[in-house]
Amino acid sequence: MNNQDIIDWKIASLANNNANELTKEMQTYLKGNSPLQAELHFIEQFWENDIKPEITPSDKLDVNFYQMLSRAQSAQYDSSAQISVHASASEEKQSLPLIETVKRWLMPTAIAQFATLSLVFALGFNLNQTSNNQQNSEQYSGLQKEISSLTTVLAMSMLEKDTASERLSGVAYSRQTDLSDPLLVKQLITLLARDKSTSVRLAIINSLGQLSSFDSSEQQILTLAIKEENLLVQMELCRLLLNYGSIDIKKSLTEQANLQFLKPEVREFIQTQLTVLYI
Amino acid sequence: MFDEKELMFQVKAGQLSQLAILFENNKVQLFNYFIRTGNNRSLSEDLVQETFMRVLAYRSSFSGSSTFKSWMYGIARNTIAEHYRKNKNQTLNCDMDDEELINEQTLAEEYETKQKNVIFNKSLASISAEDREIIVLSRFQQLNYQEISTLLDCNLNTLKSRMRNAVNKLQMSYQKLVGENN
Repeated sequence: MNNQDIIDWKIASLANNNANELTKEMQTYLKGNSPLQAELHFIEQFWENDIKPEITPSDKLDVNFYQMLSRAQSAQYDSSAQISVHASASEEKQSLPLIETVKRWLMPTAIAQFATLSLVFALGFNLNQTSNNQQNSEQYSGLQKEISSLTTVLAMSMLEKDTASERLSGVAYSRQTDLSDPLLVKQLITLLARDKSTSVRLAIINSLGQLSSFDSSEQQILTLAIKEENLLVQMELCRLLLNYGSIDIKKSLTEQANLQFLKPEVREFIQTQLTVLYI
Repeated sequence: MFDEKELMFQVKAGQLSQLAILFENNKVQLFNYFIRTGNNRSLSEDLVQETFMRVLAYRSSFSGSSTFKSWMYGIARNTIAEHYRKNKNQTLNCDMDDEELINEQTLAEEYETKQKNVIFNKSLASISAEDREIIVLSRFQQLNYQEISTLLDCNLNTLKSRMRNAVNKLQMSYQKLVGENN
């Protein structure tokens, strides 16, 4: 037994690394050793005094972090959507029994996929075979419309699926259309309001940026932005409105920010975005 | 209470949104770790941001053999080291030692406590970065010995001995400052 053993014990017990009581032997040793007592007293004071209360970082840290996370999620979404559309189908096929595979062929989603591919083939074939230009162009636009409407059906069907990766595929299909179908846009916005997966919601927000005009939906998006609990999603909804919204909706958004209905980080984000836009 | 290791595994599996929970749980402590190891506020915020960028970038290397905290502080230490390697001319600033000692002698207890705490902070700032780090990790970041030894890549006995030396130097510095002040 020496001084160091007792100092070790003291530090370990203060740092929650040791729940043992001081032994009798240690107590006896300590009794007649006043310099050691003073040393232990110092250690105790240092560990237990509220020497320097924790400092809170500024909101800028949150804003920077959530922007970084948002960029990472967008990048992840872009790659995962491609992978899930092109690769997962073939992987799943291998693991499914024959009967399940046949059943899947007869599902509306698979039929729509097959029909889309057939139409794309027909479109290419016709363009190469027909010599009449006018007839060509009519057939081309007709087939294009059919492809777009089949992709829309496919997207809507995928958006109703149970897993987030399938819904992400649905969002990816919706981006292949021109989002001219109001039913598809309505379904996307409904999903945006209630989907559990942040990735799906962020992907939908990205897709909505492709809308030629979202006049009819922007009020709804503003309401969603105000009610949104998830900081990241709220920030992206505001970015969508600021980048693509009408002047009126931008004004309403700024008013909401001024009335402090939005999170402080988002208010600061809006302020920064507005400054950039005006520059 | 969240299981941080489980959350980090979820981030590793691709659920990046879970990183937000880890960030919210740790940002204040990590920020204060950078402050206490001698960096100013602005740089400490940048270092927290950089640390979490690396947590995201290196997520696939998280094996779960140590706690998330220990792994995160390992990244934080490398982040600081790299920062000072790139900025060789930049010296450690101490927001820690810019507090003025109270020279007026007063018997009021709160002033005594405040004075004592200022001296504690000054003595912590005066010891070497290595000694300070061990004390900060244990006393302020509340990492246990096992976590600190993994982080510093040393065995438990070596850590105990280093801790003892660090506390000893802290006490000597404290006594010196008390003597000067009296």
